[in-house]
Parts: sequence; structure tokens; C-alpha cells
Amino acid sequence: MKRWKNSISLLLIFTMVMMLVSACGSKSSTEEKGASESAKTTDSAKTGEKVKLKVATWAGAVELKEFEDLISKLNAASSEYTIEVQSIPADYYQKLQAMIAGKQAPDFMWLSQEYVAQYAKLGAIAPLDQELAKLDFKKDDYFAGALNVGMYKDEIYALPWISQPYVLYYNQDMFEQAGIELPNENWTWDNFIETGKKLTKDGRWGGLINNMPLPMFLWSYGGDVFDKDGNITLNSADSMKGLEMYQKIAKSGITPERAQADSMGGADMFKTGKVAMFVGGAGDDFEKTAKFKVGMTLAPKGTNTVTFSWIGVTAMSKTTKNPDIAAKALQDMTKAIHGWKVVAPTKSGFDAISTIRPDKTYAVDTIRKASEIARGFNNQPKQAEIDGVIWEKLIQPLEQGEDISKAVDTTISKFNEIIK
Amino acid sequence: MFGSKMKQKRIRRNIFLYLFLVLFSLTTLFPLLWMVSTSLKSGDIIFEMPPRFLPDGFHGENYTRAIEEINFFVLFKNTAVITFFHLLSNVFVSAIVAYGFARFDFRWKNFWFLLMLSTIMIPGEVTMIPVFIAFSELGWSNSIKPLVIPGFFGGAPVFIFLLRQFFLAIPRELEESAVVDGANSFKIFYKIFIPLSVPALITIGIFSFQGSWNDLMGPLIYLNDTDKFTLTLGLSMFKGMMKVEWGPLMAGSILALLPVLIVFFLAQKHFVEGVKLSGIKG
Repeated sequence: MKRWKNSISLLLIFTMVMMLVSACGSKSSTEEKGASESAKTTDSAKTGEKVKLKVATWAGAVELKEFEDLISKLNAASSEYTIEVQSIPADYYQKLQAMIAGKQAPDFMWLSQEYVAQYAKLGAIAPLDQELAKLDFKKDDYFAGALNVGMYKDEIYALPWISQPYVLYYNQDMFEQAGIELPNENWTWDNFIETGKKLTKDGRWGGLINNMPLPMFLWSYGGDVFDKDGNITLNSADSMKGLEMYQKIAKSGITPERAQADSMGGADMFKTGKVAMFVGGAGDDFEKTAKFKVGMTLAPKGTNTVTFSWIGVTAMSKTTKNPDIAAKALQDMTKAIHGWKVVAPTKSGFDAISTIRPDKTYAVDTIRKASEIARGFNNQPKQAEIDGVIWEKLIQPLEQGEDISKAVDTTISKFNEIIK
Repeated sequence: MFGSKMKQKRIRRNIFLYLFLVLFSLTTLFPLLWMVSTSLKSGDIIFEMPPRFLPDGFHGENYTRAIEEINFFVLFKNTAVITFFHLLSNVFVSAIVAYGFARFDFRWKNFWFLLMLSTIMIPGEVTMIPVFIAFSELGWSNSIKPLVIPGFFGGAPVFIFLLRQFFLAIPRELEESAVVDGANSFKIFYKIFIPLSVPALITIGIFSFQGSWNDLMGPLIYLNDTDKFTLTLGLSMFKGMMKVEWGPLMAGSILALLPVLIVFFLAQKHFVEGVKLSGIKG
């Protein structure tokens, strides 16, 4: 028994010593590595050696290969930097947060617009104004709505690489068969409901709104959930008009039940001819995949002509070691993506749409107009929680026909708990 | 006369029974069959309404894409290596620790055992970032070390618990007679406990294999280079943020599923015994 105790004690001591040695060895090697990398970066600027940078992306399979090709062309053309692509194919933000917490943040990261304010406030990403001022950065070339989502407290934190403004797609065959006039740019949400009613028959629906962000309806009437300074404006008279319209459409009978639309997928319902009108991103591939003639026009309006845009941005980590060269690489990379992804968020990159997606040529003017009026959310640092409240306390009660003012009050009190 | 009536009744009952079983099996098999069917469909008809069960011809390109676009065989090898070491540590180290808890008396034994059990209750999400930071400090990130080495320092709590319960049921007399014959504790462990616990060890092996083969979060957090990825990560590449490539995803999933199926059929007997033994369903 005693022999056993001694053996176990020895084993434990040995294990602890090994772990300690391993930890110290690795730590010192990490420190050395960090220090040497830092020194290397500074030296590289002097000696002309390329700065090594890493970009995190959610792109997968074919998209990843295309992105890697684009990056290798940039690497070959640059004498200052080499960018490495890091693929994060699942749970993107969870992994990104772990890397940031573990002080291993990639130099650049693709972000969806909702995360910019949060990451900026936490100090995970760097403001770019100073570095961009040294480059030939043309702020005016960007569509204003797209650039705004990359900003936090009046500073640019991220550059948009895609902006997909929401437009109204319609099944032209269904309209023509029913002898109904096609939708146009001056349509209001009331036109959408009236026409939708005529097209809702034989197991088909007139329209779909479940994929649209609720704030878009508020913007249509001059309202918003939060203003630019972060004040709650959900209960303003304009916002209330937008909410009333949302409820009116949801209860008009022209849309399928949310459960059905969510399970089948709104885009797939339109693609398969189950729905006559669909408000979705201008880059969607209906023209290639639908078996009917697809038409496109601007999304319906209220009192204001405005639309939502899904905007993807690239931000630069605050821990990047050579911000000047990194900012240059970021600008080059963003420009290159504008020639690859549809729809580009810049006026100069916009025309590439006809080359990249010839199937969209018929609608270039509509997409341009949509890009000009498109915008993102006034994102708050706790946007994810806010979105959760909007879904639970506002959208669901509205769709169930509950009192709007009551839902708004409940939502605002929840917002106050989050942002206090 | 009476006998033939009885026979007819039995046949009728069996027909109903088999019909019920066939229908029930079909319900269970349907998702798998749908997966096979989708893996052979062209992109156009996957979401066709009404849904079409049979594919529009044999679209083997989904399998070619699954193999080429995610570098399938490299990812397969990576997954196999991680799973092998994971399984080894989970089975053997857990057995040693369980033996300690089952047969040794030491101070605060129950406290340590409860403490170990309590680690099962902590959700992985809570410990994910601190553990990631710890391994990063060791310089282990972007390697398989965090996925395989920790298992060798104590095994897995659930398996330790299961094996301890199993070991407790082994009669002490066997041990005592071995002691009389001059065996020490380690000899008793590998000469008596291990041979008697083979079904339990195989069960743990199967659960461990399944868990490691299908693990997404571990490899996702610790591996950065695509050539170090596992199959689950590779398959996730077909699930883009905007678009899911159902054809190659299903084809790749079937290919990734094959080893699990083979292991299951080879060890089916033990697996079912294991479910009875542990009450865990796969």
C-alpha cells in the first residue's frame, strides 16, 4: 500500500513538473515568437521583407477557393505584404471571439454589419481614419448607406465589400396570366397589399415579408428603432406608422404563415412559384434558378423611399503589428473583392455587375437606384441582444395581431435593461 | 381444425406485426434514404415542389465535388488520427482512474469523485474561452495537441463514472485470491479488471469514437489551417452563410458516415449491450 502511495505521489509530481516545464517552455517560446514576429515586422518595413497578415473569412468550398485565388494575386502584386486566408467554416463569431480573447486575433476579419459597433466598443478592431488618410481612400466613392455601417462614433472601423440592397422580385408570368399591371418603382406598401390580394389564390400567395428586417418598415415612414446617437425612437409617431403597416401586411392574408415560410425558406417559396412577390437581396440568383420570368423593381415605399441592405465588411484587428501596411492591404483587398462580389458597395465598382453576373444586366438601373437609397441598421454595441428582443417582444406579437403600443412599451423596457 | 385456426390467427398477427415494424423502420430510415437521394440529385431539383424522392439521374459530381473541394482524404486522415488518440486516452486512462476510485481508499475519495463528476455539469461553452487561452499560452493552438493530449491526463469524467460503477460490481474475492498469489495492484488491474471489463471498454470506445469523429467545436476552436481540418469542419464549408450546397454536403456526409457505420456494424453486439449497461443512446 505504502509503495503504491509513493508511486502515485511520484507520478503526480512528475506530471506537474512536466506540465510546468512544458508551459514555461512553450510560454517562453510563444513570447519569443511574439517578440521575434514583432521585431520581424518592424525590420521587414525597413528591409523590404513582406509583412505577414491573416484574414478570417466565413467563405467555404468554392467561394473560399475563389477568395484564395484573389488573395494570391494580391500577394503576387504586392512587395509590402502577404495575406494568408483563414477559413472559419462554422460558428464563425464564436471562434473569432475565442481568438480575440486568446490574443490570436487575425489581422483582418469579415464581419456582418451588426458586429461592427460591438467589436469597436470592446476595442477588438481598430479605427481606420488615420491610416486611410495616408492612402488614396475615396470616401465619396462608397454608397453612403454601406459605409455608414462600418462606422462607430463617427470613425471608420470597417470597409464594406458587399452591399446587397433589398429589391422587389416578382413572378412576371403570374402577373401576366392574371392580367395585373407589373409593379413599379413608385409602388407603396398599400399597392403591395392590394395586388397581393389579387394574386393570393389556388394555394399561392401574393407576397412574403418574413425575411425582411422589421426596421425597414419603420424607415419607410421616417422612423427607426434607434437614432444615430443610440437614442430609442421606436415609439415615435413615424415608427408607429411603420409598425402599423407591418401588422397590416402580416394580417392581410397575402403572406403564408411564418412557420410555413420559415420551414420552406422564403426564397425557395418564390423560386418554386408559391409566392408572387418577394423582397430580397439584389444579388439573389432567381434569374438563373427560377423556371419563370423574373422581374425586379425597387422595394415598395411608405412616405420615404428607402431599402435595407445586407452589408458585409472587413475590419482590422487592433493588435495588428503594422497598421500602415495592414490598412493598405485592407484597401487593396477590399477593392479586389468589389470586382468579385455582387453587389459592390462603391460607385466605381458597381458597373462590374454586368460582367460578373450577366443575368442581372436587365436590372442594373434598378440595383443602382436601390444601392443609392439602401442603408443598414443604426447598430448598437449590444445589437445581438437587441435583435433578440425585437423578434420576441415585437415581431411575434405584431404578427399575432396584438396591440402595437403595448408591444412597443414592452420592447422599450427590455431595450432599457440591455443598454443601461 | 382448432390448430389451423390458431395458425391463421398467428399468421395474421405476424403480418400486422411485421407491417408495423417495416413501417417503423422506413420512418427511421427515411432521413438516411433522403440523404442518399439528395447526394445524387442535381442542384436544380433538390428543392423542387412537390419534392421528388428519386434523383434525376446519377449525379456523381456531388461526390467528386465533396472529395475535391474540401480535400476529403486529407481531412479523413486528420480525423482518423485525432479519433485514434482520443479513443486511446478515453478508454485506457479512464479505466485506470476508475480503478483508483473503485478499489483504493484515500483521503477525501468521495469529495474528489464528486468534484470530478461535477465537471460533467459545466457546459463546454463556459470553459471554452479560458481553456482556449490556456492552450494558446502553451503554444498548442493550430495543432491537434489540445484535442488529444488532455485526455491522457485523466480520461473523460463520464467514462470514469461508468467504469467505476462496472468495477465496483467485480467481486472482491477475485482480487483477494490474486493478492494471495502475489499479484500487485497493477497486475490485478490488467490481469483481472481489464479482461472482465471488455464489454464496458468496447462500449466506451464506441461512444468515444462517435463523439470524436463527429466533434465540430473542438477542431473548430483549435485548428486554423485548412489542411489540418477534420471532416466535420470540411463539411461545414458547404454550408455557407448565404447558400447551402446540399448535393456535395450530403455526398460528403455519406462518405464521412461510412466509417461510423462500419464501426457500428462490427461492434453492434457490444453497442446494444453498452446501451443496456449505461443507459446512453448514441
